[in-house]
Amino acid sequence: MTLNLYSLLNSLFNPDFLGHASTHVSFATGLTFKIAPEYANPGNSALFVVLAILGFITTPISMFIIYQLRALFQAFTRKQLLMLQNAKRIRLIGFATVVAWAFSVAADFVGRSYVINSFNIPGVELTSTFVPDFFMLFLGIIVLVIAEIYRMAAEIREESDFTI
Amino acid sequence: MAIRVHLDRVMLENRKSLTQLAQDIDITMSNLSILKNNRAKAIRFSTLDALCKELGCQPGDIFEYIPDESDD
Repeated sequence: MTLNLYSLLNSLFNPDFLGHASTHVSFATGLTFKIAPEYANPGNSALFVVLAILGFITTPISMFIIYQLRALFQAFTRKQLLMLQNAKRIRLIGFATVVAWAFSVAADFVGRSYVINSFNIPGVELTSTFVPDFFMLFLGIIVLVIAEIYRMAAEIREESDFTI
Repeated sequence: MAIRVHLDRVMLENRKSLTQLAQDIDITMSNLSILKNNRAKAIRFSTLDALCKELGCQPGDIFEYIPDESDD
């Protein structure tokens, strides 16, 4: 079961939770737990700060990737296909994807710890098996490989252009 | 670059302008300019043949090999 970070943050920022009236935790599968206020711990605020920072740090990374993609498409529409600048942009997208993966894994790990420490229900033991999702990492590595192929192609094109 | 192009010198000796030479050997002026200004990465044998024929010279008159200091 994958914890939906955004649902978690949304529920934690809910005034009901802050007022200790009631709270709920939603999961990516659509499963939602409503917890009575007497069983909810205030939670570890340090963990929450780390979780919030990790959650918000992915936003500028995503914006950076979108900016690079926009620049790439602009170059493609200008018929500037096999350029070294494009290869550099694709490589940056690959690196950003790997960094975003690292932050999302860290946020997932901290989020799980936060949820486990946030509730104290008699007779219920909340445990979490942390299995990182490597899909995004593989995606980033594949983009880096494509960037390298693109760079080599751009070099061949440049050499061909400067062959008299 | 370890290869230096002396096309300008050979052109001067033959009193040929860039435009005239480009027309004579049937390549664009921009390509000939790239070659003259030492920015070319490679040269085709057909281009070299045309250059030597038109300028009445040997490839060695146009190109000079200069060893890099880092090669030692």
